This record gives sequence, C-alpha cells and structure tokens, in this order.
Amino acid sequence: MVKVIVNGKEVEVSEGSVVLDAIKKAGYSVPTLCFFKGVYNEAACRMCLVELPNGKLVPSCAYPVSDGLKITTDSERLRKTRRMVLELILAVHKMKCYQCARKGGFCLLLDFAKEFGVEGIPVCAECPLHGEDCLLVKGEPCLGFLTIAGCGSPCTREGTPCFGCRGPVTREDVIETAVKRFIEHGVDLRDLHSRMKLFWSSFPQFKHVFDLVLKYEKKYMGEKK
Amino acid sequence: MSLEVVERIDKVFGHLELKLVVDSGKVESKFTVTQDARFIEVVLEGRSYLEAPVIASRICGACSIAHFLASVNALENAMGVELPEDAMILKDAMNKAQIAQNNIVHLFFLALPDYYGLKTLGELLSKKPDLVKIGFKLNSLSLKAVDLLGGRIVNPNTYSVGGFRKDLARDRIEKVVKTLREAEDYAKQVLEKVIELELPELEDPAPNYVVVQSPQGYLNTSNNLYGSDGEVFLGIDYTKYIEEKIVEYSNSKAYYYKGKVFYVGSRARLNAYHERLLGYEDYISKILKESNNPFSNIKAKALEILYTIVDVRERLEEFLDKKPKLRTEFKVRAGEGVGVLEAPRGLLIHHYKVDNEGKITYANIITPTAFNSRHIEVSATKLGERVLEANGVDVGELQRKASMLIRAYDPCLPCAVHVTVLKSER
Repeated sequence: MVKVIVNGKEVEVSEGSVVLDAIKKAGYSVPTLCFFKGVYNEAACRMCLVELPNGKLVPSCAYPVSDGLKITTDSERLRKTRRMVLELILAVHKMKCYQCARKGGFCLLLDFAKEFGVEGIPVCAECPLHGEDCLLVKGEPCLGFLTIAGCGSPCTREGTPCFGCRGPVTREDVIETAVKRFIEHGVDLRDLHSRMKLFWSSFPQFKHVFDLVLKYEKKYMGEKK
Repeated sequence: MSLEVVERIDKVFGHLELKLVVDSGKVESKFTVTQDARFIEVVLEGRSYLEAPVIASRICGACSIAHFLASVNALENAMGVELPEDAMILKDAMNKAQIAQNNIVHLFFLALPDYYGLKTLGELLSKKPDLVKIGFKLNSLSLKAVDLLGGRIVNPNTYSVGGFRKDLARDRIEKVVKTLREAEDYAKQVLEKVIELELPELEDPAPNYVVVQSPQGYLNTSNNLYGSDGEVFLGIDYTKYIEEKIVEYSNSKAYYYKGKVFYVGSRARLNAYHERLLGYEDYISKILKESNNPFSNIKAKALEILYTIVDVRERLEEFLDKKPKLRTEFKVRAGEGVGVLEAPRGLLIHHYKVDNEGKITYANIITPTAFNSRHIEVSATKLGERVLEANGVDVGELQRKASMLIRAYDPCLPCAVHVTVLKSER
C-alpha cells in the first residue's frame, strides 16, 4: 500500500494503481472523457489533468501512484487548462449532432461544455427528436441546427421549432451544413431570416454568422438551380 | 396650504409613482407609470403569425401565458381558425393555472403583509409561519401545473396558432391532476384565512367594470365583452365602447368605458359572474358584502385560486379516458382579429391585422393595468379624502394607505407602458 495526499487529504491505495483511483477514494472527482476502466487508459483527451507540487500537469488516469505523492485536483490554472483542452477537442470534432447516436442529452462533450462554459455545440445535441420526427425534415424553420445548446431543448421537445434564444453557433462548417439542410428540406428562407433576427440580432457575433449564412445560401441555391 | 405627497410604490411589478396633491381639504391623485417604453407593438409588425405569440409572451414574465394566449386568440380570429373543443378546454386550463399561480404570488409576496400591519414577506414569515409556508407550497404546486401544461414555467411552448403542437401524454395530464389535488386543500386554507381579513373601508367611486363574457362557466375564452351596464358587445368593437385618452404625466394611457371610469380584474369577474360559481356560495356571500370596496379584490383573488385549481382538475380528469383532438388544419389568410382574455389582472386585449402571408401589419395591445390606471386614481383620491377627514394631514398614513390600495389592484407596469408619439407641426 502507498500513501497519496489528494488536496491535503491522505488516502491509501494499492501499489500499481493510478492517481485517478486515489482521487476517487479520497472522494474527489475529475472530468474524464476517454478513460474507460480496464479498456482504455491511454490518456488521449487530457481532460483529467491534475497538478503536482512542482507545477507539472499530468493525466490522472495514466499517472502511477508513488509513496507520499501530493496532488491538487482543482485550481484556477487547472480549470483554464481543461477548458482549453475542451476547446481543442471541439475544434476538430465533427459537429454533426443531428446524426449522432448520443443525441438527446447523452453527450459527454456537451455536459463538459456546459460545465466549463465552452460554447459551440448546437441544440441538436440535446434534441430528443430523431429521424422522421425532426422538425427540419418536416420543413419547419427550426434554428436548433445553429443555436448554442445548453437549454435542454424544451421547445423542440414540445414540438415547437427552436427560436434560437441562446444565440448562434459561430463555426463555419456547422453553418454550412445547416444552410445545406435548410435548402434541402425546402424551408422558407425569408421565414428563417426573420427568425434569426428575432433573438440573435442582439448578439455581437450575429453579423459574422448572418454573412456566412447568406454566403452559403447563395452557393447552395445556385447548385440547386 | 398645499402639500404634495409622492409615493414610489414598492412590491409591485415595475416602476410606479403615485402623487397625492393635498390642497385645503381636497385631494388630487396622479398615477404615474415611470417604467420605460418597450416598443413591443413595433417589434410585432412584419413578424409572421408563428413568431408573434412568442414575442408577445415576452411582454411580461409574470403573466406570459396570458399574453401568449391573447395573441394566439387574436391571430386565430383574424385567420378564421376554428379550434376543436378539447383544445379550447386545455387552452383555458393553461390560462386558469396561470391565474392561480399569479394570484398566489400577488397575495403572499406583495399584498398580504399589508393586512397584518407588516412590511415584507420576511416579517410575515416570522409572525405567521404556517400561513406563509402554505403559500410557498401552493406556489410551487401551481408552478408545476403551469410547467406541465405550458411546457415551461414562463413563455409557453406547447401551443401555436391552430392548436397544441403535440398530444399531451396521459401520464402528463395525470401528473397535473395529482398536483392540483394536492394543492386544493392548501388553497381552501388560504381562502378561509384571507376571507376573514379586515379591509380598510372605502366605497368605490366608479363602480363600472368590463369583463370577458363567456357563454358558460367562469374565466373561459370568448370573443364577447360584457359591461357593468348589461351591454354585451363583440371584442372587435372595443374601440366603439372603450375610448382612450393620453395622460401627460404618465407613460400609460387612460381608458373610459362609455365615457365612465371603470375597473377590470378579479373583483370585476366576481361581481359579474358570481352566480356561475356553484358550490362556493358561503364564500361568495361573505365577499360580496364588501363587493363595492376596491380592497376586496384580494378576497376575490383568493377565491379564484381555489376555483381555478378545482376547475382545472375536474376538466382534466375528463381527458384521462379519451384521446383528445388538440389540433386543426387552417389556411393562412389576410384578416383582422381581436383576442380578448381574462388575464390574472383583468381584461387583456390584443388587436392584430394580418396580410395574406400571415405577417402582422398592425398591432395594438391594451393591458389590464392600463384599463385600471384611471380607476386607481379616483379611488386614491377618495381614500385620501377619507384619511384627511379621519386623521388630518398625516403624510405617513396617507402613504401607507395609498400604497396598500395600489397593491390591492395588483398593477403590472411593464405591460401598461404605452407611448404615443405626438407629431408637432412646424
């Protein structure tokens, strides 16, 4: 058995275990994304970073314990780093929430995004409507495709198309696919613009987003003709 | 000797000032809405019929369902939508649940401490803990009912023009019924407490009212209005009977029914249709003894809490055994429509003109507090004169009684704001 000190609290864990086991035993938690006990512990996502006394940040799911090891699980620096890690993950993540199997509120990324205040995942990630039920497929001007998630999607749950009250997602690839789908399913674009201006016009990123929307509308409307 | 008493009223929704000018035994009162302009009617213009109720519900967080439904009613009238009966019942249930919740908030958080000689709810909590705890419990239960029926606590999203978006699941209706059954007992206790309260004496100087005239029942949707002189008229003719005047010192307008000052609200509803409330005769006879006293509005509100909770439960129990039809097909067409609704604070009018694409070209919204503003002034004048007769010039007493009176009306100022642009000639 080895002694590990987690946030000043002493716990004993068996030799050969990782820091994450000690943290759990001490009653603390760190966010983990890729870690799957016994199956995957390659420290790929870096969400579970903890701080050592010498200032080093190490992934707790893979770092082995040693006697007298002191670790900190929560600090300003750690939160900042985890947030950055999450932003990096989201930057390369293909945001196709409307076709994701984790749609409907089972998305870990979305949970962390809410926790760390990182925006960029559209409402589709939380929307419980699948397949034929999708309001966009029915031709309704639903802004869920382009609106920041986090509300729990109360409107689409009741069958009301999203009004976008939480503001627009700024990622270009998300906007491009959204516009493509809007045109594909024959949504009235004038309705859509009026709906976008309803809540979004007060957001600073609105002009950027709306310009992109117009740009891709031109592109895909041209293709359709 | 002339004295001006300015009272900035607290514990009301929004910003409000009451000026009482006392001059040699005479009192003049000015009800001044100091809330800033909202420009909602301008925002509505050019919006489609699907967006308009969503914007209208943002007028006020306290009674968002009332604004939402009045807007929907106006648009449905404009486009000639005929709803199935079940959808009408459920729509009314939504409104009634909201009325119960609003009345509870008004009673406990705003008005009730006045009648125990206290200032805040906190003081009331230490003096009458049992009563306030019932209030909290009742508030959370009624909020739950609003949440289940409207999809959210504020700004409902289960409904759009033409009916409910989705069929309400059976277990959801069961939950509402269960919640309201639990609330019923509490509501009865509150009513029995409130009905025994001693009200300050005041005789209504202008006992005229206007309410929504539903063919049967209480608080149901209809397109007719009913005045206290027995006149029944269509909602769309409201401009013929109700005239508006601009008030220079206030951000709200003044309204007159056939040239007379009138009031709307719970007391008006009870005075007009008390014989329709079956099974509440004991309570009603007690309340009607003081029916001519503006303060008795709070007793009428307490009765409404019990009535709405029981009525919504009974109506929804019928839904458990059948598959209700909650939606209808309709064609978007041009038209003009007025939606009248009994909001928690009284008569609410939404008036829209729609073009053949379903876009709004004209919007006019008149809210209960705007209707009441002139009536509050005349009652405050009367009250001020009474206080002067009894106590002499007592500023503290004047302020206390006047703010108590205003809170009894339950004004909501964010809705009442209405700005008129007067074009000057060059």
